[in-house]
Amino acid sequence: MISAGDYSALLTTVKLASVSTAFLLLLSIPLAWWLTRTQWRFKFVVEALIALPLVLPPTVLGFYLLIMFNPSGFLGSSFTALTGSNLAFSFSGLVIGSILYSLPFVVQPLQNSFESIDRDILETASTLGANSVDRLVSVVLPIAFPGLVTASVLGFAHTLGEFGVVLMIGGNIPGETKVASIAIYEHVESLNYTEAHTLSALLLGMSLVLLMLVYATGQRVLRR
Amino acid sequence: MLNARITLSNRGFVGESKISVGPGEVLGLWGDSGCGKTSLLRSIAGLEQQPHSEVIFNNLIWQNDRKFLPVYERRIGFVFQSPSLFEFKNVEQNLRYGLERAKKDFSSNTWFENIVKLPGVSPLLKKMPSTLSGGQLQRVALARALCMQPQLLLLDEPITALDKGSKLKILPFLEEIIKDFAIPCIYVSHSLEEVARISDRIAVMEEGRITKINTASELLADLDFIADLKMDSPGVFYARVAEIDEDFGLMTMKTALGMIRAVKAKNVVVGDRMTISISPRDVSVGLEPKQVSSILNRLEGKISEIIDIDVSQSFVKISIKDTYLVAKVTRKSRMALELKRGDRVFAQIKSLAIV
Repeated sequence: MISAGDYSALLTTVKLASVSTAFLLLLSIPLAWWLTRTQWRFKFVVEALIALPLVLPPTVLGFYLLIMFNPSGFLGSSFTALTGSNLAFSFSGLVIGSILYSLPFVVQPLQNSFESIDRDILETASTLGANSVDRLVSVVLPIAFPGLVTASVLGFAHTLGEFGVVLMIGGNIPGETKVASIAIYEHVESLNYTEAHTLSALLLGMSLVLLMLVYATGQRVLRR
Repeated sequence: MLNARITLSNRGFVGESKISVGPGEVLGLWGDSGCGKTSLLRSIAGLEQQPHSEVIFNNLIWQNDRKFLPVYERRIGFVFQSPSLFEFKNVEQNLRYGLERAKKDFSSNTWFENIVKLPGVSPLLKKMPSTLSGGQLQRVALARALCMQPQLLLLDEPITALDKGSKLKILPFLEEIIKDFAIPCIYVSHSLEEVARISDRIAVMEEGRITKINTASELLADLDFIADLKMDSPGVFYARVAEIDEDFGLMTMKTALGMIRAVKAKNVVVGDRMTISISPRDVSVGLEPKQVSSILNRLEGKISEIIDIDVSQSFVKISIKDTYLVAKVTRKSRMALELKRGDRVFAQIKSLAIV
């Protein structure tokens, strides 16, 4: 019912979404916590940069990433020096692109739930001997757990639907960078409507289930 | 021993306050809302950093111009007005939070066991905070603050948010804990009666600084001070139940004023300790030792001071044994009885008015 190529594209998609979400959480938790706590005057600059992918055409983001991934560019050359492989048209490159592309979808729900935590609770934890990192792990994350679920699911689901950025930096290498959205595009181009239907229905179902999970946790999804 | 010199400068006023609290002593910090008492307490804890301030505990510098020890490295127990329990942990896990973070050298299991065994706490251990009443939550918050064996206990309006019934229940619990654990303690409240019940000394705060520090009994018998208060402020005395008269539902208590009879409180037995408050308006002044009256309490003393509050009322401060009792009488009665300083009089207290 589903071809080996399409199966591999789906697998790449899920792998990409999982790896990106893991990195996104590692990056976004400290970032959102810092945004919640900082008194820095120019924090709005950081917030605007994070929110940029919400409004930017994915092709623009993809174009700049492609330039940076160029083996003669700074990011591309340091990556090659470190790992011996190329960033452009690689799975690692896709992960970096996805992290940037889905960042606002993870940072914003986290920041929302961090900001709603009562100051007294955190100060109580301090008086009981918890330093800043300890407070984050032992108090903030458990209280913000629904926000954490929302952030992970949104990050995952948004990466599933990624198309523009992948098209620019990923190319079309089966088993490596060919994701489901690209496969659907190709099927339509070559008039293979049956395959396009199957893959589209699968993506639709997965996204719907994931979004239902978000709303079921009863959280405000995004602050726009 | 805590020694602190705090300069509050963040509320439009600049004022320096000096505080020292010894082991087992309770210092009450009293003032109107907005006077800076909470800021002062938070500065001592290290939750706020005030410039030009100094906090020294047992010769260890917590804060001076060059050093600032973060809150989590100070061994303090802090209780906020809201109980602030960790909702995702049960009561026992809440209690263990501080203990788990305490450095090995001062975490003692017997200490923790004593807290867990407190009568107000032990039945709640397995419950989740969301199932507890306001009074229970605050009791747990207090126990949690004590679990890591703090060197200093700081209480910021710990019972203000409770209803009257819970207040009356938690107050003796609080008094007992503070006395039993013998930790220096600062108790902040806007209720003078509450502060007086619990404190050895009271610091009065106005516009960002401490203007007066005195023992509770001296302060509440300081006529100039209480005349300025917007409300009646009762004298507060420690009492021990000496005798119970079940037939009439009365109890006799031994206090600094002498034996006092009052309506028997619920579940009281001989030997119980309590704090009673006597409002000046419930004290009258008589000249004869034997007077036919319904009053059960008649205490002999000497007038040490009289002031007129306004055209109709006067305060009479009566020195009885080693302490004072203040009576509020009409100016007309004061003139009619020709009361003056040094007179021997009898202070009469209505038994029904003693709480």
